Amino acid sequence: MSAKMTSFWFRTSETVLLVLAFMLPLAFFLQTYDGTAIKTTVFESGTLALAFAWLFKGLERGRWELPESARSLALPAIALLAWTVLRFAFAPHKLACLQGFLKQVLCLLTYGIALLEFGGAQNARRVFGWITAAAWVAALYGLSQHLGFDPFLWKEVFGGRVFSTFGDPDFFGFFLALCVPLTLTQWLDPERDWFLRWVDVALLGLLAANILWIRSLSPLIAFVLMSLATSIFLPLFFPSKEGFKAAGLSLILAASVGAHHGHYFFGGLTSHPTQWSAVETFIAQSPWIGHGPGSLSMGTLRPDCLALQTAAELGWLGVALWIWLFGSLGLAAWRAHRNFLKQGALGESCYLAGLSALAAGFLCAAQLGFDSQALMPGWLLWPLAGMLGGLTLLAHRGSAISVVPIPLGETARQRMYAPALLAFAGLFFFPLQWFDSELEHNIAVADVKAHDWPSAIAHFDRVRPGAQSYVAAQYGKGNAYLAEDKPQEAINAYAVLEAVSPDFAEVHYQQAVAYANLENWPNAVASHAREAGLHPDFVANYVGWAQAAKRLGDLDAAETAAKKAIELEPNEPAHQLALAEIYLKEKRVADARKLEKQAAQLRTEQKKKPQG
Amino acid sequence: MNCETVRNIEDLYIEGRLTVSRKEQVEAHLKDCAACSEKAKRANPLSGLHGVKAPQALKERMKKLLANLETAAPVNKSKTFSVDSEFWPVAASIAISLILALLLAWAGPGVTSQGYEKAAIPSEVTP
Repeated sequence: MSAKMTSFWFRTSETVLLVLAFMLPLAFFLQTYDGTAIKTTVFESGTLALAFAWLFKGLERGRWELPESARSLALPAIALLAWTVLRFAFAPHKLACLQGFLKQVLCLLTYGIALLEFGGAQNARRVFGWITAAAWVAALYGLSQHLGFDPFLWKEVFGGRVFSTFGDPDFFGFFLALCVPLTLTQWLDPERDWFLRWVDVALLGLLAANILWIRSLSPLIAFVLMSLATSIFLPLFFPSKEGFKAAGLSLILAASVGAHHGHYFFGGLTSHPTQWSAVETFIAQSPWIGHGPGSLSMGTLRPDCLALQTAAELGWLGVALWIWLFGSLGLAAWRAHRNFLKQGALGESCYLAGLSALAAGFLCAAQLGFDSQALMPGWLLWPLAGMLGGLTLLAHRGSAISVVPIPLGETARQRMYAPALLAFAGLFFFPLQWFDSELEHNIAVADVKAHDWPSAIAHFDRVRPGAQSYVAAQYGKGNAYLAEDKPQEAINAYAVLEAVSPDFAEVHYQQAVAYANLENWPNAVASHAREAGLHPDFVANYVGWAQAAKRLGDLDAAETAAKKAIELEPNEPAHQLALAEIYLKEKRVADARKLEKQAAQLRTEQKKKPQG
Repeated sequence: MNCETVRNIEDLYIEGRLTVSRKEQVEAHLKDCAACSEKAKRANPLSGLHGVKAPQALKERMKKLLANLETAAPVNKSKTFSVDSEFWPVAASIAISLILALLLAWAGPGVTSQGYEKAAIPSEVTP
């Protein structure tokens, strides 16, 4: 065994983790301001590198180890991983769900590696340091956006709301919330230099200011919950004068932010039950095993609740596995804190408190916001939860170790490097290729905005299967063909989309428009009916449906669709006139005239109203 | 269990950190394989020292050394450039902030990127 090489691979995996912790919050692609695609690429390639560095370390040592005391924390993660893979294997639309599935698998891998490799206060100190360093940069960029110094054109995308390097104010806000326990834990660290503690206090102020400039409910709730969790766990696991001071600081943060924008708490939460009931209906179709990992991204459902998202994708069985995983982690942390206090392990107690606060705060806040499920900051839960688990193992020093030995000598193991490196390079190729596809997609969208349809179609065509935007690219391609007045080509593109993700966006409506252009009325009516089943409040769909049914000669269906359009938009005279035309076809002249009068009256009223 | 497998885990066996079942497998192999058994004995620096007591002089020397360590002034060794240092994250954040600030100062408001006025989201693709 070469101790030098073993150490090299450990250092490599550690460096990769630190680079990920620093780069993921900050990475955005300057040319197109793509905050998601670049993060996905960094995440996928970085986690792959992390996993391979861990594998190579095992290869060098001739074994992989699992301490007996880590079994209770590793088993639920292995069970969750196995269930995710199994559920994906039997999911009907794998291509559309691939990215969601990969994200879940790679997050669980990160958890496992952090659990086995990065326990210990020193590791936590380093990771916290890099994340808060990223928080400084992101928060300063947020400040510059607030002051109007952002030089880029995207500064106006969210009005006056700041979004920094995240491309979305809510994702940025959730990241700021996560940084509260991290910063306060550093402040509490007995080994922290005094001037860095002042730097931490300054960062807390900057975090609070940014969260107010975001002006959004769910990050605000996350910030308050995270501060409250910090105020509970720091004095509980680190009972000292300093621990209580840190709790006081976090309570001040929670109170000042909550009081400043308290009105959001009452107004904003009312929208959640409506979204939740739609997701509950979706869950009821397959309650125990769910619809497969990544399946929610195929539709328009956004549950804004981690438990409901897990139930929808992995079923209640998946939720049970989550509870098992984080329940075991909570229990291990509770037991470890007592041991650390007995041993007088100050550094370990401090970081155990911070990591517990982060995990507890995250899990509470994630039930009230979709932003927690975004790759960034959602990914941060996994390495930090793994480190929490790894830290609890130190409370059971000297426990037996289960090993998976490699039945090969050193020379034979070294020969395995070449195929292993090739496998790594092969897998590394996919994230890079998908990133290239994301760029093509971005360029295609820019072409669409410039109405350059042939160029848009060419770029949409270069988006490869498996890329995050592959499904959207097929939709965009169909729409571009439709705009170019090529309905048959549009229908072909939508057919490809339907095979991958049957109910994406408003594909059935678009199909209906294409069929109407071809005067294929039976298919147009069928597509409108399917769209109405998915989006019952989509007015344009009923307008088109009424027209198509009228042309088909099904006047009853046309009348029903036109009436539905009027019901949804009672003040739109065009809907009244459409129904009047149907009445005329039905020889109901009096009803038609009445509607025409109503439409004329509506138009007059609208003209009288002041414009703008 | 073959010889290579045993050699890959023999340090854990010597330290007594293997699980009971794995330890029994190793012991069963060592019983049958003279080469591995000999190697394991040589690898364990404390083998054959059961019951041997440390000389009094060594114990006294160790105590003195420990006492000196406790009273000695902390070594003023700079950790600035070690991997463990808190210097790196701080330096990296300062460097990136400076780059960002320079970019802001150099570019000023109004620089176009790729002509995007809105975030590129699929729903906007509808012509």
